[in-house]
Amino acid sequence: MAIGKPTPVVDARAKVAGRTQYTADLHRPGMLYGKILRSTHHHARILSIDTSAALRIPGVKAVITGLDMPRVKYGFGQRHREDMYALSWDKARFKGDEIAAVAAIDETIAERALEAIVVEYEPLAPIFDFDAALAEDAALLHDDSPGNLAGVLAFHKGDVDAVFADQRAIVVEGTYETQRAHQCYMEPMGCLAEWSSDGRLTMHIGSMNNSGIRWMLAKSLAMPISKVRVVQPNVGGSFGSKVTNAGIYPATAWLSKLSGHPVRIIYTREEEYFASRPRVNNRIWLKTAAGRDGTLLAREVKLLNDVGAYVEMAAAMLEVMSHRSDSLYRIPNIRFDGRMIYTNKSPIGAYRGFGNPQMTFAYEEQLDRIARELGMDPLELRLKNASRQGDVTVHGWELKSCGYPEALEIVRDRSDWVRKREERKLYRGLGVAGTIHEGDDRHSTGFAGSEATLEVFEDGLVSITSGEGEFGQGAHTTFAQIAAEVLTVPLEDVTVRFPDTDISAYALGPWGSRITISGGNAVRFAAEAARNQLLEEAAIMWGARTESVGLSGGRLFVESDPQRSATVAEVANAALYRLNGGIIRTVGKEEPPTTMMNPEIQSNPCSAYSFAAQVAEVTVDPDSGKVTIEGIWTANDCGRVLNPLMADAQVEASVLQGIGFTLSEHMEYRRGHLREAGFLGTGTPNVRDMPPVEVRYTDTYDPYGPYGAKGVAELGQPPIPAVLAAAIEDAVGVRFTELPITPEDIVRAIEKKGATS
Amino acid sequence: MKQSIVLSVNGGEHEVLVRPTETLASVLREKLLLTGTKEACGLGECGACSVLLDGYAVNSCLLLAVDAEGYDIQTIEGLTPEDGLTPLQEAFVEHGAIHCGFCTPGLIVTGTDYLRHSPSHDHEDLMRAIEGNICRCTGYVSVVRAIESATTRMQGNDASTHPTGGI
Repeated sequence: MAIGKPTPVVDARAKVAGRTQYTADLHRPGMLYGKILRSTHHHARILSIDTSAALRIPGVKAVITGLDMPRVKYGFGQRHREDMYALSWDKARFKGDEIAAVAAIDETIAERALEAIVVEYEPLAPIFDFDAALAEDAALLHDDSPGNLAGVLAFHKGDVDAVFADQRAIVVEGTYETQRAHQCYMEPMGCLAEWSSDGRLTMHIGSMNNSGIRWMLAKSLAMPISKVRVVQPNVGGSFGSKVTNAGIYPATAWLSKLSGHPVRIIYTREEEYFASRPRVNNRIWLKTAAGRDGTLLAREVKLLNDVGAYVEMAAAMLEVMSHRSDSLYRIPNIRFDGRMIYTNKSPIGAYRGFGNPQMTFAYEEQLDRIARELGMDPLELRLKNASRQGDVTVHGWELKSCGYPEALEIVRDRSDWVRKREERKLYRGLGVAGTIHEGDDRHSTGFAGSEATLEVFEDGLVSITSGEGEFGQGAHTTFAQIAAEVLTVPLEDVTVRFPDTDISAYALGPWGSRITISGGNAVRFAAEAARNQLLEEAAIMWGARTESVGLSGGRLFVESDPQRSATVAEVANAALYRLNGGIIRTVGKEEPPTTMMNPEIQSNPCSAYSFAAQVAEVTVDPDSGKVTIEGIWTANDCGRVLNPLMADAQVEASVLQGIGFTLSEHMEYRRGHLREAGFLGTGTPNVRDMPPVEVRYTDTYDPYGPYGAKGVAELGQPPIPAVLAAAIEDAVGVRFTELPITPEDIVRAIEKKGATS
Repeated sequence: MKQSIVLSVNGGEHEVLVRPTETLASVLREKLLLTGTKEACGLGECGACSVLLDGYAVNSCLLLAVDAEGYDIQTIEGLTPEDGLTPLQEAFVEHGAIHCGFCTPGLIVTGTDYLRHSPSHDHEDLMRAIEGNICRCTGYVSVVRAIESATTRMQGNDASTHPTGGI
């Protein structure tokens, strides 16, 4: 049995020996090293770009600006706003905006070439924050976007005003601010471009959205999509980020085209901070009403998302942020008003939770306040309102499995919540929070499923081809486990190919916790079809009826006559060499039974919904402001756990990223200038920051996911900012509504509290 | 101005033409094509580029190639036996301490130094050894577990008899 067994990633032995190849490890004969010239201004008109001196440097093979490339605006995808050029040629919209690109025989010469490019800028008033962007006379980043509005979303369900006006209701409100944070995947973004003699472009990209990036490349380069091939090497982490265009892929392709050489560009870590796609910072205004018995009645949200200079995928994020958390608790009245605001910062991207940690930070604080006003245990308040299996929520989400109440009970019992709350200790605090996450959300009315091809070779080895992508999260391991389970072969006999758009089917990629559910089901269907083919071929081989043939332990046999038995390899070989036979090759196609996400009406956009509850216990040193996390208890409803080894680590890592986001991680801008651009200066956690974390699972079986499974990767992080803020409040009596919560903030708040009390 | 230097890497001598500003990480990866050594920050903040210099782990992104002459340099390729894995590498596999794998070679190099040179092999020593290695996929729990289990195994039987120097 492969399912449910603790399984290291399938390529662990190669990785631990340093044998796996990531984009930066790829070399080609004659390969050039590319570099990007980035804007030194936050906001400026580009008057001229002189590349002549750079081109004269020996060893420089190509220098390009946006004027050398097709002048096509493009965006994240067909449904998304198109507001950027491959290289900016009219305006620079953030410090780091791509202005020109060079390719040279080594990196040093490429850097010299960058220094030799002369750009004449006319500086414009920069916009760094919401207030400046929304001011009456604000400069505009994009001429076609008045008020620096990149997009809006608003809806109203039920009647929130009636509830808020009701004197019997308890109403709380507040404003919450969150910061930009980098995903800090270890492998920097990059790509290698090469052209073949028939005019086809091949891009090797450590991406997690190969089909989508192929579309973006074709669009920005004005090429037919069939002439673009995206191949995915190993990817060194992503956490959502690498679903987007890094901003340099089209320019790298063009450098390669003009120079006639393969060109590789790898971001420096500094470029990662200045020009990649970090987590969005938000301002969330929230108002919640509950009845005197603690029943949640209404919620109103006004959300501002600082999307930076270009929209990229921010519209999808606004959509998901707008209503996802509404389905964690039963709440009948909802009003939402969200706006995306352009500022002169780098564009934003996806990061584990896709806005969930930020919204949960706000929502759960208000539940704590309501509980306090009612004198209720905050965990009991959550249990009272928790969504349950079978619920159809305020937005029409159908919770076919829901372990949230059980998760709350698990963390209550495991953390000894009741007893610890009774024995109050100075500067020690407890908090509770929960989350819901979508699995496999549908953002289109078209194909939103997954497709996998499976082959059983004549030596019995199984090969899976899926376009879904592996970036270290274990997708290939899950796929191999599923195929091994269906075909009853050893896990080692299954290999999974990396995506290559010439070979693998169109795929949406691993975002929205969709891979296990959607990609896993596609693999399961392909494996089941292969199993049926093997049974048929064995029946032909033996002249038996197909129904009389069985498969177990990697052997096919006639059920009534176990003497007649053969290995998978023997049957696959016989199938290949008989008249009208062939290789065992099957396709599994999954299309989720969901409706397109649309919070303005009712829809059920996800195949499955995952849940988590957490309790945290902290001690705060009032003199230094240092927060010591004594323990975090997590209970996760990811359906059936397919691989406990990987699931545990997914939760642990996600929790630590959440701790970083809550207590230290910060891309801090002062007057628009990014203060630090490295792991240490931005507060990336190391091994000492990992507290004791207990990972438990609810006993849930999802009817749709393969073998009852749902997504697990995005459950650890979302509750952390809320649960730590609650525990810190319990310890020091101050609720922080801005992230991150630093030691300085805590000391200052304790001093202020001491002065006023 | 480029200059010719001789680097002793994984037991072999390599003559390479380098600029005085080139780092050891860059020369290993781009000139010797030893890409098992990863570069994640170039700032000495993450440990992904760790190699052994006379047996001790250093950040090869902070070391100039010209300054590495005369030292015995061992990379992940040299640490890994031809016919399998070291006990530390086996422990990483077994405990699921490998996800994306980008920080892994650096952690193996640092962990090898720790196993060989830590005076006490206690928890604080281990923390000190790997606090300079950033991993974003695991939350470090499985990494610590793997190194601890390799430590126990090493203390139980003398692993230094392994042909590539053990561990």
